[in-house]
Amino acid sequence: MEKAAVIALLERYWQAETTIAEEQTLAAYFQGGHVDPGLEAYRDVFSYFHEEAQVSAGPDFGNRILQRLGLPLDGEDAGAGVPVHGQNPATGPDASAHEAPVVPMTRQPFRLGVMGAAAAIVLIVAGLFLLRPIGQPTMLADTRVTSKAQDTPRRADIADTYDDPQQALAAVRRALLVASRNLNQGRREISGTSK
Amino acid sequence: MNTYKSPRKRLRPTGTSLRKCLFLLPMLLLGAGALAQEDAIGQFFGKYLDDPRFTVISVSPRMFRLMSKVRWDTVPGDLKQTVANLHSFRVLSTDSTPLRFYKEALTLIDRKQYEELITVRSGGSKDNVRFMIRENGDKISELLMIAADEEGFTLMSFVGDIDLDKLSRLSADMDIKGMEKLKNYKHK
Repeated sequence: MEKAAVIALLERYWQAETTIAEEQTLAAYFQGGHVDPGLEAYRDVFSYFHEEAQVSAGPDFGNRILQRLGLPLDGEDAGAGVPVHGQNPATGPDASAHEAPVVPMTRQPFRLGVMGAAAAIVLIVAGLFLLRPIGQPTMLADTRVTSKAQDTPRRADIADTYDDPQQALAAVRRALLVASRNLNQGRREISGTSK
Repeated sequence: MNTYKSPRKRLRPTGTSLRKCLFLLPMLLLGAGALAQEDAIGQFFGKYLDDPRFTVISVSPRMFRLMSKVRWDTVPGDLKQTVANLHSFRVLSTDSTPLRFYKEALTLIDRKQYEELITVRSGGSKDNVRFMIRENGDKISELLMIAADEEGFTLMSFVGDIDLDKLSRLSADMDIKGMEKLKNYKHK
């Protein structure tokens, strides 16, 4: 293959514009013995791709992972502990037969990330809710009330009228008596009408 | 080259855990909202707390804790227990346009939270006392008294664990003399 043609292909390869057939041509060129000295530098790149593509998980990869995770081996679920390949000869010795057991392994870190992010959001939002001036109505409050109470500052912290507990007690006592008396009057009237 | 794309596929099935988290979110928000509850005066009459027409008396939870240290020997048992179960107390009262405020109170108070207990109406529609309660499970967590006649309007809120029987015994045992004036509770 012409050096110029290879360079043109490479150019498009780096732009990810090549077709699979063209990529295979490129790979074949760099695998072959006649690599132009000017393109020698790229040979390593393509041989690296080629070598890495040969790496496979191996026939018992799924079971090894299951073992590490302390889970029952793939074959045992189906009973008798027969090796997977014996049971399922159609699946060849490549890693694809064990794709499913691999999944939890790769999922774990990613899921933790999502959980962490969600937990952080929850904490922030809950924090905003808790730290927000408590006098503001909650989301559950009637909307009619919401609009009216909007401009009031925080009211949840009850300011004491009395500094002396004795006086406060006296006030509470008086108030309780008033409430009690009114309550009794109401009850008397209710029992009076029912008779 | 195709082999390089396959790892990406494995990263995908994560949607379920995310959805679970999104479910938890509104529940947490509801929890936070429930914590922010306060008495009816704060909820519906907050805007009048600084109004010069109103007199406010309040006793904070802190003061209730301090009260446990005062001398209790002169205090009757029922009263003692009732006070010990209270958390906070607030009164809002005014003598300007009492009946207007009474009507306003009845419209402002959220009936989903506050249930009407007893209404006493005497002297036509000019003399009214209404009790409302907020319940927390089986217990009454707030007792609200709204009273109005031509002379004044009073809104009184007791927050705590309230026992109505004990409360009614407080005055039943007592000499009624001098109590007439207390119906509309005013500051001094």
